[in-house]
Amino acid sequence: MKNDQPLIEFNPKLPKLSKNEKEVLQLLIEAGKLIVPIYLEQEKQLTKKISKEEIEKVAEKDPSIFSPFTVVEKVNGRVVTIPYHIKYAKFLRPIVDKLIRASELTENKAFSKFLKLQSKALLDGSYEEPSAAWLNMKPYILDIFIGPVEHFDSQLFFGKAAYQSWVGVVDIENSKEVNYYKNILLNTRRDAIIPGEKITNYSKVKAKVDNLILFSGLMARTQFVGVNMPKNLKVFEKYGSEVTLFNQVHDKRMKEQIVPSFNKVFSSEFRMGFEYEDLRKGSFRYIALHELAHNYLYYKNAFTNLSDLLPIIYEISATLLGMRIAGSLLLKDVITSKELESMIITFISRSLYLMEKSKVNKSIINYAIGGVIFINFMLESGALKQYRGLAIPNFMKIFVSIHDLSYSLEQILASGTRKDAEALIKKYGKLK
Amino acid sequence: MTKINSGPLKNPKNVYLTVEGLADSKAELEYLKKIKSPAIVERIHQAREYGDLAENSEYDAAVEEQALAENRITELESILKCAKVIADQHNQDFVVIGSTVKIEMDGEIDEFKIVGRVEADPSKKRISNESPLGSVLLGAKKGEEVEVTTPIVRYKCKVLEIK
Repeated sequence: MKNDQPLIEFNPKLPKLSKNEKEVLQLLIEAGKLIVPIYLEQEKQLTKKISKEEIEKVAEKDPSIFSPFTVVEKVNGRVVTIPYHIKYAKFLRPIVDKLIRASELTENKAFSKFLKLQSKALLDGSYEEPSAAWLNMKPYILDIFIGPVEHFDSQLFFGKAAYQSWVGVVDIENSKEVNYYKNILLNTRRDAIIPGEKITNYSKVKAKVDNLILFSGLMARTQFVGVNMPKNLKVFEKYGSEVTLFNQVHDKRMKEQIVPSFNKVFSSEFRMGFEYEDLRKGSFRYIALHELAHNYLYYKNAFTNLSDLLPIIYEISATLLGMRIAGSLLLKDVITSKELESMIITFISRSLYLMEKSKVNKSIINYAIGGVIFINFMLESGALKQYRGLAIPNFMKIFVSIHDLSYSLEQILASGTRKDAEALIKKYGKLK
Repeated sequence: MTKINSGPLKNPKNVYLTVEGLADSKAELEYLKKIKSPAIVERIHQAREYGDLAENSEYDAAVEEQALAENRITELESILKCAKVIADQHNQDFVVIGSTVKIEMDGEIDEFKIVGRVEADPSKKRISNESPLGSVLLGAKKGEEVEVTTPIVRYKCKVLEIK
């Protein structure tokens, strides 16, 4: 029987931890697993439909209905808004107990403070406080995210499955490499298409790579290899953000998605030019640069202007901007042409995989549409050709097309309307 | 302190170093020879006294560290033997090794120093004179637009300032 629990556990090789760190880690793992029942409750909620008209009527009197941290449901025929921390209080208590015990046990004062604030936030909804404490902390070997994540996807505003957790131990060596890229990128001033519209806080962007122990809730469903948190722009503006990449999920993606798709869509002669290690590093680099590029793409009015289509435009924009930045890294001798080629072909492989899988896994639909936009744009420009079911890339043309598409997408983010986004998706984003 | 990069030297006759890079290389070499290497030898000596070398992780770690230190010493000696020191004062009419350049390329305004390969570290704003970008900028004047090309990437790069 297929295991459909929103929990994935890994068994990574961990660095030497102190006795205290091991004990704290155990409590974090136990807390992380307790997200599963809340997430399952939230998934049930997704099936209860409330019409858009009903939501809008309530919103006139109660704008909290649009909060990313509320459940909207019908009680005796009336639409009501319930904050997450109240709705799921009985599930949150045991999580908070574990976190409080971990906060009392840990010898790292800043981590202790963060855990206390996180526990408080789970019970009263003050989510900004732990985010601020976390972003102000010096790098620490233990890593946890636990709680609801904000959706900026209004398709789900009346039933959001948003609770998630990850628990890991920082991979110091790989973190150094990602921070090396970060320091090169974010020290360079990238011009905004409309400068006044942009939100920036580059000096407070952090980056790390985790050896992952568990994903639960939403993360177990999406299985993201990288994330950039927090998603709230006001919090980013005040405290910065943190990019986190997950080794074990990336290995899983390589095995289950990238390698099979690569073998399927490229000819055997072409494939001989790339070792597994080239692909693994290429995939990891494009994801790292995608997450870092997000920090260049925060436009104040993008959410209001693009509404439910924002995630599609925003995610593919970050990938393409990451590729453009990789071009600049190539010119500075940071990466080689082969390494840039590996980034491009692993993204092509991933896009083609998502095109197939989005039919069954709806949580990846925004990424799948982004991938389709990329593939169709490349086909139209002649940068990617099809011959007898195989893909034939011309890397120089692909790079020029990436530049053109990236610029168009950023214009939509900066000042476009929902109609502009819809037109682009209609033209290039059709799943065929 | 500038970290002088490791790796095989493409052309050992032309190892460009800034005055700072030269001083740092000499200081690192002296530290390795006079402080670090003797300390490692002492650690190996102590580890031997723990007995059975087959399962002696202290011994293995120290031996590995000794190999790394010796490689680094050879590398630094080779760099210093071939080093050509870049003058601190240089012409600001056109870009030379040692110039700090402000450029505009692909929507980015960037400023960096062009240095020899062994001193290059883009995360610290030091770009190699042998990189596609560094090599094409050499000789360019303020206001000039140069084209940087590789088999995949082709960008126009405008020199905004030379310091």
